[in-house]
Amino acid sequence: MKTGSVTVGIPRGLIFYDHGRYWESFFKRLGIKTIVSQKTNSFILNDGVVCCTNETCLPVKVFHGHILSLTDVADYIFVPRYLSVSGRELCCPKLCGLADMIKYNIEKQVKTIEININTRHLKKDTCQSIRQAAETLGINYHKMLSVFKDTIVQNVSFGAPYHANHVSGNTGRPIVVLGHSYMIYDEYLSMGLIQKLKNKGFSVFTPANLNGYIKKMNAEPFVDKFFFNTGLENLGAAFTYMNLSGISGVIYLSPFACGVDSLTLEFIERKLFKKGIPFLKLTVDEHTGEAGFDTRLEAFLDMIV
Amino acid sequence: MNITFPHMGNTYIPAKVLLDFIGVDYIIPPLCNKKTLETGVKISPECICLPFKTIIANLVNGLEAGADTILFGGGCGQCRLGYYGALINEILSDMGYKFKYLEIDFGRMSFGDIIKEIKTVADIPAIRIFTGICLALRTVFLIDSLYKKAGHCRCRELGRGATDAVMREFKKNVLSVKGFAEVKRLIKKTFKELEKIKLDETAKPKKIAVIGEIFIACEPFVNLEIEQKLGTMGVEVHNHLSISEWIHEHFILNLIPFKVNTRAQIAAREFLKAEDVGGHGVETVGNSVLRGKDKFDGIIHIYPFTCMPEIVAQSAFKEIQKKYGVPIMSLVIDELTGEAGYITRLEAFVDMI
Repeated sequence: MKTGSVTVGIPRGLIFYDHGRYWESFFKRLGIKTIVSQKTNSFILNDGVVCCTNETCLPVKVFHGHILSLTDVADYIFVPRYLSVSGRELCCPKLCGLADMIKYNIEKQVKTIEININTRHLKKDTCQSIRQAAETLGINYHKMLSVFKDTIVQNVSFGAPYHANHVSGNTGRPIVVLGHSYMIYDEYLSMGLIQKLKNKGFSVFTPANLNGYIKKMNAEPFVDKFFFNTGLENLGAAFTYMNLSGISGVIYLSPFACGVDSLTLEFIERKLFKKGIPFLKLTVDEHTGEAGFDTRLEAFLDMIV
Repeated sequence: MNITFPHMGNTYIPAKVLLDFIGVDYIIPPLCNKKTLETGVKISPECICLPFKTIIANLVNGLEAGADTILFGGGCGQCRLGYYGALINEILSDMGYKFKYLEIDFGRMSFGDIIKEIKTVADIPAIRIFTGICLALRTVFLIDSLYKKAGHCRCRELGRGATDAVMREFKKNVLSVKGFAEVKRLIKKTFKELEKIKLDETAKPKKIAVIGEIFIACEPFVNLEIEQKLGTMGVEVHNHLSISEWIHEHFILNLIPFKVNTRAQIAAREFLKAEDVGGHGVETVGNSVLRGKDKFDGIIHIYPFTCMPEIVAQSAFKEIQKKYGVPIMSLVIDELTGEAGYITRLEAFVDMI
């Protein structure tokens, strides 16, 4: 297949909110057209819910919906397999098995481009998957590998500079929103949480506003130990913000039955309680109504004002 | 020093053998029961998996009874089990308990590391600890073969309930015997009693395999005695998720300097490209493929609610059922699982096959 004539679809879900821009530039530099699925909406959610086993968590269901929405417009769909992004960080099992789940859950034949991200055994795992992807797309393997090193490896690994593009910049009272990036930045899943807070005059801070290294040094009790990367991120962010003066409250947005959150939430809740910082735990799933969500949020905000 | 440890199926027997041998005081918390679960649910995070809830309750019971050291077998990787330790520490310290925490990670620690860890709390000669561990491992294998035998008898017995009576007696007596020799004698005795049970030799029981998450599959209180229930329905239960298998997989194979994949891991490659999704995710897929190839009549997949690896594995079942023609039923267990509904589902499944 000639380069330039293929389109690769990038689903707007899961790791897209962290590393999507790197992947876009990765494909761009290889001369491949990319198309990012539209923002999450009720159709995407419903499509995803229908094809998954019912215990799958909400973001993964939504990711399936994004893939379905791309099947007609893209030749290949990009599904990364994140196993570990740096030495002692592991990814959620669902990210490891994502490509397999998609294969079985979506009955329509989906042609996927899989690339493994595994910094713990970088050479074998990653190179093999890149070789396969290069073959599928008809690109020289060495070229792909060097572009991969330039665009991805530097940016996803340990201590990478995080972009603070979600700081509101105004001078309102500071409030911290924690959660997986694919929950808090997805406007549909988070029901516009960040925007709602901004409208109420708060300055919103998220884990993305902190340097990765600082977060990792503060992620008690897992500093220098093995843990899930999203967990480290939230633990680190919570305990860094906790020690700054003037934080008026912390909100944690979690999808129902998230395994990683069940651990991190408990640590954060206990520490913040001891510190006397108001903390709101918001759990959402596909049945959550916006009215109830807003009531909980408003009650919390009234309390901390 | 007074050690306590959580329950996982019948691990308390080898643990008892080990601690008796090295001469350390210990407290065995009461076997899991309704009360345990209630205690656990009260102090655990809401969405954590069920094993955590019973484990922490066991430890609370142990500490209440006067223990001051916790012995816990952890793990690592993408399953939450590896991080239980940190959370248990946090919760129990917040509750005001004072204790020392010993974590034994069979997956990553060698014999030497384990001995070193035990030595931090008690000055016992290394060779004694080493022998103790060997005896404990031997006990694990003996007990698992006993339970296997019981499973064989239960579905073929002529007088219903004979096997269960023998096993109940064993469970009662094993707590009062001390040391490896006596435990071994008791196991032998029970074995003989099981052999005395009159069996229906012509019976051709249906074969059902239990796969899924190891803690749930091993702990009879948590899985509502699935082996016993199916056994009395006249089904031969093959539960490959036993402690002995686990030790074989994670400890003995780890002693070999190069990586060896188990049969299940190799079989899983057909359906899962991921080499590891944490916990028993890959093994679940592999085992269901193997049982499918062995022409089992059915497979019951059992796991705690919110278990991450098993949810990934579950996705592949549709294809496996289609390819090998073996029905698979998933049972999700949490603290609210009702026994009546559970039995109905088991009965319906058995009737169907």
